[in-house]
Amino acid sequence: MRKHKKAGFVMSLVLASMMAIVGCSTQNTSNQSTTTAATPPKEAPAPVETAPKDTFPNGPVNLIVPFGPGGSADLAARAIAATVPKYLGQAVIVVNKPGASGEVAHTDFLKEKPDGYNMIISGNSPSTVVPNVRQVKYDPFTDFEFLVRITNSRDAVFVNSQKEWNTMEELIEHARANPGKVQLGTSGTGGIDEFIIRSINRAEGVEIVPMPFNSGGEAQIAAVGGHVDGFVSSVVSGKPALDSGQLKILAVNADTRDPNVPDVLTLKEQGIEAALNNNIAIAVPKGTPKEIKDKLISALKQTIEDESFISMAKKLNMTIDYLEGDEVKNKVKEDYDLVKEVLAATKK
Amino acid sequence: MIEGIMSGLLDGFVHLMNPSTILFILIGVTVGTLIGALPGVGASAATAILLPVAFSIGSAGDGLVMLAGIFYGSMYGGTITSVLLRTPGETASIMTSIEGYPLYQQGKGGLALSLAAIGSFVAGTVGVVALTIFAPTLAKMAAVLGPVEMFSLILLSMSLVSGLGGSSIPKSLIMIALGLLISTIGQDPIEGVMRLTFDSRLLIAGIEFLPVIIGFFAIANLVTELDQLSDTMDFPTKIGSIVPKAKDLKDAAMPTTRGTIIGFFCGILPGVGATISSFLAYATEKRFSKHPEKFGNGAMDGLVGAESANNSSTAGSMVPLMSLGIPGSTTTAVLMAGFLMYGLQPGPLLFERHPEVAWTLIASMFLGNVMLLVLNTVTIPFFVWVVNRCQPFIAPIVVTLSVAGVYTLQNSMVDVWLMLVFAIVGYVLEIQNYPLVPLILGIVLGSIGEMSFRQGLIMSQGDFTIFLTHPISAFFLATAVIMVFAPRVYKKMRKRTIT
Repeated sequence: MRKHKKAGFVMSLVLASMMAIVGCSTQNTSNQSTTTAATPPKEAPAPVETAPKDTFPNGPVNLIVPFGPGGSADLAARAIAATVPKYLGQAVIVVNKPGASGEVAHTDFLKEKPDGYNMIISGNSPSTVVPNVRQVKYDPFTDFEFLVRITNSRDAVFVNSQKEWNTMEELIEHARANPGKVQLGTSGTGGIDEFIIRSINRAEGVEIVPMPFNSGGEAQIAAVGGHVDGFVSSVVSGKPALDSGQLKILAVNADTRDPNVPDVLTLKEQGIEAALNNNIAIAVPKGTPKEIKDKLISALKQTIEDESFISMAKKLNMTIDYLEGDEVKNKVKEDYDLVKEVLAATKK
Repeated sequence: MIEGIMSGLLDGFVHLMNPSTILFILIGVTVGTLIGALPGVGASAATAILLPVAFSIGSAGDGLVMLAGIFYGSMYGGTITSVLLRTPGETASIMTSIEGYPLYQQGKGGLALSLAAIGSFVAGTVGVVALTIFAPTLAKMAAVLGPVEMFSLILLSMSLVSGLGGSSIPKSLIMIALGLLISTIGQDPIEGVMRLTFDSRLLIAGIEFLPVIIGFFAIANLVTELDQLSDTMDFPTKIGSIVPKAKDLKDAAMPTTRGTIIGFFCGILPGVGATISSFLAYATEKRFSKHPEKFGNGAMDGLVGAESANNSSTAGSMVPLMSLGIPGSTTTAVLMAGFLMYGLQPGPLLFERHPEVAWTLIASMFLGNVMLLVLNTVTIPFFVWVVNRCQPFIAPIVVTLSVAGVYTLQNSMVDVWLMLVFAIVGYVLEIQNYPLVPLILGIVLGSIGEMSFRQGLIMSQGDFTIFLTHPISAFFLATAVIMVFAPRVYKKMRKRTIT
């Protein structure tokens, strides 16, 4: 009997510590993960419906990232989460929910209550590309309400440094003469980078082939090795190989030049109308009360203007492009429409 | 050049000799070990979560050595739960649970754990040496192998491991095909349309690999145990000697060497990484083994090879990051963000512009591996003691750990349901004597094989001969053909000479 008691004690100790580890290592999603682990998901914590709205928030707020860790959306979310408690008075917990180019997280987010305790990183490909290429269960504009845009991550067209092209014009001339022969890597199907290529194709009437890889890194290694002619990805990701002379950069895809490579012309400056944004914005479920939204927007705005956030963003080479409320929605809608047009034009 | 390396490394060690840096290495490798031991939370998630923490530490060296420690430490931790509970903590320890758990049942658990730790240590250290000396040359290799070569390499891997299925070849083939089929569920990697998802939320993300193996091995194993016994579960209590004898070390020497080499090269290749490397090392050991029939029922060489491979692969995957400035995997992408946060740009210029950080990091990997060796051998008796103490509660503990771990993988219950489904599937398949390894292999190699195959066809605009006209690819394919037919031809020839 005694032995059993002892064993029981040890077990509960081990179990508790293991759970604590699992919990801590997901950064306090423990209130989700441990309870759901022990009981069916029905009983997932139903936060604070009864609490008066003026005390919002009286618990931690989740920020769902629809991609895996390490990408630009993930890093932006983590930079926000590091500073926002100062202004929100509560912790913001980053929860990665990758799958199907962000479709999984957005679909699941439909079930969240509009109480402000769950936010999602939205506004990029799951809002602009995915609903255009296949049927999804969410509407990116009516099911979610945008709060703020943090950044518009700038992509650039890189080519292997052995290629003879030094400007977009030369690349496009070559592509015109050799349809289907110029291939540029992308970070995966249904991404913004793929549609930057396709919108260049539409604008210039050429056929540059986007080749998806599993990540931007893989596309870049293939470009350095000459298996594809180049790739489209964020300016930052290509910078090391650019500096060491393995890559050339032909254009930046943004309204203005990128401070990291101030000499490089934008697509627009080279006469190509193909700008597609890579908005990294934060949204909440539709029907979230205005007071709560205002509170979140004000906390996020102050965070983005905070010096510690600015310095972190600078270190990550993230340019802050702040927008708020309907401005975000309109910007995202523009991109959605552009992708739709591109698809309609290139459909065979 | 060697002199430069030596003096750089020496400087690195001098930088390390500072209590806070040593503390952060220790924190990193301890967190890494725990993450490796627990199913679910992987190294990439853990490093991403700790990134802002590392940043607030302030010193670039301290933060980066901690993040790197988590990365290579995670490959050690997987061994403990794999051997003692048949619960692989991460996907790269799957082979460890296949061989380690039977060894534990045979009373050789202690030896399995210590040899795995030693093999990991050797592989980790040799990997870092190779990273230190050959990184720039090897990085070129990573770039030479493009999609075409990758597909042929995957095919070669499949031919190598096709022999892993046990006795019945048709059954193995059925299981590989099933695995390949499962790997196609979800988003088409090129066109972006959904395949085989039946419009179900359960399937749109595709089938994650971890829920499958946790279901197959950890949970299905419990069901089997329950099935066989009435009221007491017969978990082994003896683990035998922990200290390996000279003969044990001698037997483990070659598997460790081969595992180290295979792991390191797999690590360098973008998108290949630790899991596939452990498969390949395991398959190689079976080819070289004098007792291939033991594989699946406690083959120490298979276990040691696989464990060595997954450790040296982490050093390998640092190669493209350090020498090209390009991350080839999720975890190295997070590490790259870590570099950027400190205002450092990884890549060929890192050693010129910030030699102190670069060399401190490399030196820390040597020290970290020593810490991990101590951590993972000295604590063996403790873990065994805990497991023995908890005898009556092993099953609930395994289930709890598995459910919690699989949930945290993508923060979704979907994976938990999938795990349970695969537990039933695994149980049924096991009692029908269908081998599970080929199925897992199909899932792992299927998606990367399909991707590279279709990329290759995009490159050639649909011309299949591209796989034969690229010399390296042709070499891999030829080797694959030899791998499949050589044993049979050899057998026939031998028969002829005998008669």
